[in-house]
Amino acid sequence: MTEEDKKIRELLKGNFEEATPSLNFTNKVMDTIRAQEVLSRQQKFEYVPVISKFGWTAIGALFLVAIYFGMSSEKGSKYMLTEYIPDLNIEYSVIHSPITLFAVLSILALLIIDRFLGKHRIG
Amino acid sequence: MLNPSDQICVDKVLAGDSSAFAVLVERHKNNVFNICVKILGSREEAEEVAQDTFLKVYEKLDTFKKESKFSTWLFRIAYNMSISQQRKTKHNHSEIDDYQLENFTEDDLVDQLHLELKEEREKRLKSAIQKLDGEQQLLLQLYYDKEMSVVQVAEITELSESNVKVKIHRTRQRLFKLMQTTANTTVKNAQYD
Repeated sequence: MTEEDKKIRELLKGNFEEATPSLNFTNKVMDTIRAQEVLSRQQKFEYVPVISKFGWTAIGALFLVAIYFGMSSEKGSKYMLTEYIPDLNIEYSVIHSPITLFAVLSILALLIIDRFLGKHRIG
Repeated sequence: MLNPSDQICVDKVLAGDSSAFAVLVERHKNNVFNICVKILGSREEAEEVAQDTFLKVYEKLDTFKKESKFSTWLFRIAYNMSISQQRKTKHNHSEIDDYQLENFTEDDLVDQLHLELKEEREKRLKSAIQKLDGEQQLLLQLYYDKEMSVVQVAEITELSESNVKVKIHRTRQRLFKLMQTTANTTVKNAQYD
């Protein structure tokens, strides 16, 4: 620092306006930090189910396929569901009708569309 | 330990003691707020940016490389955040270089000021400082009032050292020019009275 600079420093020192923040400035900052910490801790311990939504959908689909297979098997077959549950006596023609097939396919299509829209939701 | 150094506080925060950060906030809040006010001109806006500065520093504390002082690093973040906030809201950033400065004998004025009565001198200085724009005030304040080196000011403002020197020189010239004008006006007014 030059002599001139020293003279100017001496002259200017203490003549600048010192702005001070609000009295609770430190508290506000620390409160926000603590709130963020609590939030990040909560995110760390977020509940994660053992079987995911996709898992349950797959299990449900397999179950439905198994029932459909059990109902649609030929009479006397060991896979025929009515062999084990005699009260479940649905007409063979109902199960094999195109309306039933159309209904099952429609439900599957709706489920797939719902899943697709859920994944690509905006916002 | 009553007054732990910045580095000790930083290490404590990094070790998981977030309350140690309060010491850093308390210690540097005035300087950070001052930087923000000088650049933004509004207390409300400055308070918000100053808070965001500390929050950002807390988040990024693990990236602090200890190559410079903690305070220099903190002030640089405050300066950058204020500048980007200013760009978002105002878009009329004035440049020191825009001023047309006349040559005048700075040395004579400094000597003359040293001879003046303290009260009168301070009054004139404060009034002239107020007429400088925020960034100019900040440069002079960091260098002359806070006694920072050119290197530190350059680190905070992310300007080259030579650029800082030029800007300080020009701002100082402008300040003294303003003081000269004030002195001339006072003399003229006194003559009319």
